[in-house]
Amino acid sequence: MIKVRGLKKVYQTAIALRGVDMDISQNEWVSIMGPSGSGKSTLLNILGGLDYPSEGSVTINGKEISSMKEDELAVFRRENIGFVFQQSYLIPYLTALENVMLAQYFHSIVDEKEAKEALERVGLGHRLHHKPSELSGGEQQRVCIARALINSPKILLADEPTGNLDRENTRLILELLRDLHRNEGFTIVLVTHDPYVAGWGKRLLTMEDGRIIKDEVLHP
Amino acid sequence: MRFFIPEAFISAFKLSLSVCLFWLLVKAYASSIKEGIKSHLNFYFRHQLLIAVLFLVILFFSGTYLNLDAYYKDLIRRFSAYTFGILYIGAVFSGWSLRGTRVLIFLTPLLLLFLFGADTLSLSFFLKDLSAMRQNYEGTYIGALLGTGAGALLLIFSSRLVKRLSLILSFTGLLFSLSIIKLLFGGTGGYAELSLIPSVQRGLMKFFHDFVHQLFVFFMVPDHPLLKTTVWNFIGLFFGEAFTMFITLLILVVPALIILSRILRPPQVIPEGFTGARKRKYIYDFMTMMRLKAVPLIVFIIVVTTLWFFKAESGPGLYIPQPVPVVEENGFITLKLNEPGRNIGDGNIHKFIFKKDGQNYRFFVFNRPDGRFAICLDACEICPPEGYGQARAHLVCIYCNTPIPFNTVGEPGGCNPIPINFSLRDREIRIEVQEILKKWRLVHSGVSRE
Repeated sequence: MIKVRGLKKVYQTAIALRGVDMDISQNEWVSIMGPSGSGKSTLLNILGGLDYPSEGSVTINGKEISSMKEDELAVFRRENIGFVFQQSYLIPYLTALENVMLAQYFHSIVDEKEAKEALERVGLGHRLHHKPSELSGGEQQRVCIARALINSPKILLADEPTGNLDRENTRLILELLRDLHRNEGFTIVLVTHDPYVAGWGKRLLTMEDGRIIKDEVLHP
Repeated sequence: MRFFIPEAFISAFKLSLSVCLFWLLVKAYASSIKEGIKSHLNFYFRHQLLIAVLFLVILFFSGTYLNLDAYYKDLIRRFSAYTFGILYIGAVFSGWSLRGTRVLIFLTPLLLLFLFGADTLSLSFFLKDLSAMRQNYEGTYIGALLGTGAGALLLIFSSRLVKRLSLILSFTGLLFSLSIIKLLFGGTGGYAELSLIPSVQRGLMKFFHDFVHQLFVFFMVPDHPLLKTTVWNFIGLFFGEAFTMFITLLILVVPALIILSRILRPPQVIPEGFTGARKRKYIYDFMTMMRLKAVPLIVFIIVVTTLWFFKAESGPGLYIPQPVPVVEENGFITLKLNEPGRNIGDGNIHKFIFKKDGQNYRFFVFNRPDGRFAICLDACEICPPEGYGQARAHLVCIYCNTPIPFNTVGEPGGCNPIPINFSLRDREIRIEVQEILKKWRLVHSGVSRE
């Protein structure tokens, strides 16, 4: 599903990726671990079409996204990829329901019933009309998951999705991701520095200094 | 002597541009339809369409050898205006079902001939007259050639628009777009002369008027002057200028608006298995496509409404000549057909006035398109005697706006001007004064607004 070949990313003063090769199959849950500055987030951004590589190629479902133009890439992202970040990036003056509907709007058209169902699936049926400031960190992150999945992406990219949460909320979010992953069959690529979180994936890639240094199967 | 005549250039450019735009739009539509049909169409375009253009060229050259009288020339010019009506009706019918009959596209060359055949002939006649008037044969035809070339050049430069245009063209959109071309570029006479809106409006006025007349006859409404005046004054409102102008707009715009509302509806059928984001995406893509397909209709509505507005603002544009005073001689009024500065057989109405016992009597002489002279009082039996004005194909009652077709002028009854017996001998018209006085008694006694 995802094929990465010879991926390099050079910033003005630093080299973030020094030649990454990897393959991720459909319906896989891959965790990427590594110390700070090892290139995890850069890799995730390039996989999600948020950034261009300096060299190499990224092919998703047979389409080479690294050579797509900005507008093509935006359409591709909109239809194929869901993002969850450490920060929720919810619109503060919109309710949970409206935040999810906004993602629908940028994809196609809004459907309030479907957005409500998405929030009910992440256990927030009682928080539809609350604004982000009225939600806990865990609840905000669940809104983000509902928002990321509302447009039925094939791939969910998560960058430290539980970085700001306590252990209990972390477990809740990971259980939620696991259930959705099992039921809806999308591919998850999750970046974390927490071995507990990484342990929920089926496969673990370890990065260091812009390279993948270990590729191990956790739960065959 | 001028190298080229600008009027010839403009007329030829308009026609050439219309034909090129037609070509461009049909090609764009063809490129938007299924592959199987497309390859067939491409073959078709290369051959049949070229043959159609060749026919237009032949029509043009035959026009220079034809010697038709003014009546037939005018008929050909008006036919050009009617093609708009037929296009519009076609667009409305195809839009009703929202399914383009793609087979019809194979009739494109015929459509091209139908739409621009009359214009081509008219252009040919126009250039012939122009070259004779200016006594500059070469300049006229060089101007026309340059105009045609300029239109064709625009086609070459705009051929890259085909792909973009194909996004906005459905079959209905194609017909509406062709209607817009017909409206904006018109025939040789242009929109102002072949004015569609006044034609529709006059037709409506005539229809309402005749309908009410027939209704009166059917219900045997008594012909009492008091009843007649009151009722006609009221009913006159419904076939007056303002009312029929409004109905004209409704006729031209409402069907397009209804089709527009149907085009902009969400899809009625969603493919099986399309749920959630896939369903929303399907609806979004469908609506986006249909919004693009709505562009020709929106442009049509804007163009028609704008033209209607300017037409409504400018009024009926009637020719109303000043009555020329005449005197009686031995109980007769004598008018020469030709006098210096006046030809009363030129097809325009010529009004005359004479005074007897302190009373003014107005009448007019009119040489009908069929060549027969009609002499009538400048008044009818129904309305106050405000008189008549002349439009393109009708006389029009200034009081109630009723159109009187040229070839019925001279016939008695209803809203027609009251005919007067006369004799025509040795190119002189003789009218008995007593005849005028006798007929004037039939004139409605209401007071003129003048």
